[in-house]
Amino acid sequence: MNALFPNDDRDLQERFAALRRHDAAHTPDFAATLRKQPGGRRGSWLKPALAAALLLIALSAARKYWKPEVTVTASITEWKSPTDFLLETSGHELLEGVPKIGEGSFGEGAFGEGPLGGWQPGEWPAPSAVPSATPTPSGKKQS
Amino acid sequence: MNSSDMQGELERLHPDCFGWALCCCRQRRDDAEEALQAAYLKVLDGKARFQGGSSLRTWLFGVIRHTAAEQRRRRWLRDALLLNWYSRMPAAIWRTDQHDSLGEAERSRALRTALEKLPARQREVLHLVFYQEMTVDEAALAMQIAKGTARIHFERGKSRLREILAGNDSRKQVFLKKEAP
Repeated sequence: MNALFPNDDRDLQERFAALRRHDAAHTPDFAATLRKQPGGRRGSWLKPALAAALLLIALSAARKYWKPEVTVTASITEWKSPTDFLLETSGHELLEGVPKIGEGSFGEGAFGEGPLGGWQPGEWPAPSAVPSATPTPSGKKQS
Repeated sequence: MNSSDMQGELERLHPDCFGWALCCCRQRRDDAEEALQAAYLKVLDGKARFQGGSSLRTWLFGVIRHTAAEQRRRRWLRDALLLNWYSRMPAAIWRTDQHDSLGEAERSRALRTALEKLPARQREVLHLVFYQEMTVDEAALAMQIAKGTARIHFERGKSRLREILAGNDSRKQVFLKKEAP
């Protein structure tokens, strides 16, 4: 009996002694323990390692060949409504800027050089497409 | 001490070392054997040298404890990295041979289960004192902790172990009463 144990520890001591006897009956041989293949459970993690490697390969292959659908989203500042053209009224360009004196459609120089802008009275453009003869209906005898 | 002498000493201490390795490996028999082999190889290869500061057994227990902790860390890393959850071996199954009386085997199993519920240091100090019959001071040396700390763990471990064992016993009695006609 170990002198360190007071009487009230006897219960635990007896339990541990039983455990010790039980373990002693199942202790592996010393030589067998020494000879045991180091890392004896190597096979137990080889399979998961192999599975993990295959999974990685499959994932990388899937990533290579899988092309996600590309959706281009326009920025809100660049977006235009399809009915935007309806807002463009005729003559809207006149309202977009401030006209300057002497410039514009009816101002000085609108018709070229000179007080009348290069235009001379009596200068009318010659008629260019006056028919020389009136066509007659086909089959009618001319006098 | 030469290698053959050391091997003889290891062989002599082997049953004690196996019990201690089981305690350090949470009663997993495979892990305990692996840790024990690694510790023996360390000693025989001269990687761990006995300087004579304590008894050989105390020193050897320190080596086994250190080796078991190393293996536990390595195993944790391996399990985490290799997703080894499904190949996790169950805790060693302890057979009841004809040599064991049924009551003794049952008591041993109950004690193992109760010890599993204790914190590691309390479990270790109780094992060293009650199972290996060391003094608390020797246990402190093997565990590489202060003597005062070892005493605290010893006292707390004892009371906690008694509570757990008492709880198990009372549950068992209630079960037996229900079973009885």
